Amino acid sequence: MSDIQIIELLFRRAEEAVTRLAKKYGAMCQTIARRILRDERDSEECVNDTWLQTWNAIPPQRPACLGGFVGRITRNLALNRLDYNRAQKRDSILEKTFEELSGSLPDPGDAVTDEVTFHDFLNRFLRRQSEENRRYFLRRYWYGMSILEIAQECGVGEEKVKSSLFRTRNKLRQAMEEEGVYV
Amino acid sequence: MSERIYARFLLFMNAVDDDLLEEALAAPRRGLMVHWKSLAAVAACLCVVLGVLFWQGRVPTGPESTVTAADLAEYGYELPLPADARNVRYGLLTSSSETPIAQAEFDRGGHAVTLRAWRTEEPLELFDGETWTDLVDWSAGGAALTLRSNAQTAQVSWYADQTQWSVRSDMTPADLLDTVDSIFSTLGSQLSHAPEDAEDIHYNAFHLDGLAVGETTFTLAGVGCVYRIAPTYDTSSDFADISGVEEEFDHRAEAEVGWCPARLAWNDGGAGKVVWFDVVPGQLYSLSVDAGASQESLLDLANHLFLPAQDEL
Repeated sequence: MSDIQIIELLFRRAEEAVTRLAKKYGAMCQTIARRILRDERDSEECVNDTWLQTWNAIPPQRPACLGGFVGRITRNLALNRLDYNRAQKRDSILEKTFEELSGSLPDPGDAVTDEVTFHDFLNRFLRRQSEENRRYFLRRYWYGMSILEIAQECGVGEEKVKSSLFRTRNKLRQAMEEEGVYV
Repeated sequence: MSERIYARFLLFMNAVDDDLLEEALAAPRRGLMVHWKSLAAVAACLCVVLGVLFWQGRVPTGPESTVTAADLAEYGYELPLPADARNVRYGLLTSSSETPIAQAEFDRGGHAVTLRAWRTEEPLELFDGETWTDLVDWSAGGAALTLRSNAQTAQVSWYADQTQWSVRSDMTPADLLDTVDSIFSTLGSQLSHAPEDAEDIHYNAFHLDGLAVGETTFTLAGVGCVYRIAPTYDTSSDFADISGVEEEFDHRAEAEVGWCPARLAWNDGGAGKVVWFDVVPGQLYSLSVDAGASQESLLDLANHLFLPAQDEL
């Protein structure tokens, strides 16, 4: 079933929409949750909560990309749960992946930029990048995807993804230094 | 992960806007696409013409009331305006269906621009009739576009994802196409196609020797470059040169760009051009530079820019 048809079901408040959503995007959302959380049951609950949030959000929203919409909801739900379960010491895939990015950024020292300023800076920076580079960067560090997964899903070679990530990390470091953003 | 790194992790994870997070998971969009399916563009154009005849006298004439972007969103519209749009006024126009036409009027570069969008099952005309003196049909950015113009007005229309779009202004056609390129950019696609480090990028579309040409001009490390694409039905091996560069060059050579036969001409360190032809989709390409040319540099840049139409199928 196409995204448009599923969205139409949601607009009609047809419960079949949830079944269709789960069938089409269940595996993707499960993978996203698993990269962020350590517990399989937590991941499943996040995915189930995703359908509920999607049901509540559409209508009024009509997302242009339903997959991206539900994937983003799963990610945010999983991040919330990650913080809640912080007592477990084993790092998730996303946390491990983030360390790769974090290690290439300038040391914040004592002068730490506030959250609002950083939000504005980071989104301006991301919007300046090409869509392709931005896609690789966010998939890697905000969804915890492996280089191979990104390359396969985007139909490019692993080397291209690696070099794009390398360049974007360097650009981010440079932009942070130029604008005096330290976090 | 230390507590300090974990705090940084959460800050980063929660700092990215939702639209970017959703875009990242969406299927990758393609770059410049002027492909051989021009028959589809012709069919779309015919639909537009038939639509004009059918709907003549029934197209809306003005906004019902002043509305906000939030009002448009209630109908599922999100109008992608260029970043430098000024004095934006939104409107909803009555249409022949239950879904109204969304409109944004704005100023850009000292010119008034009107953008309209209508969710509809087929391509239709969104503006009142006008007498046009020029018309170009071509494909780019994943859409079949039509550029109409006369001495006073230019209009670009395209139909994509069950939405008819149309932009009209008193700008020159080239300036309006730059505006449309900005709109496409906001939508996550692009008409223009240039290397990442390119600057001063502009897009244009026009007729050249009977071919509909999509052209991107840009500056790369101080060198002026022009990249053109045109679909053709002529599949003869002596393919046409669409570069528009007529001057005599010291060197000439034959080579390949991708799998396509290519002809090069250049002056060492000076101007140069490479033209190539992808016979299966029937697509002509050209790249010309105004300085720094060599056989290697021309082929490198041409291979970098070459986006095979087959990738779009």
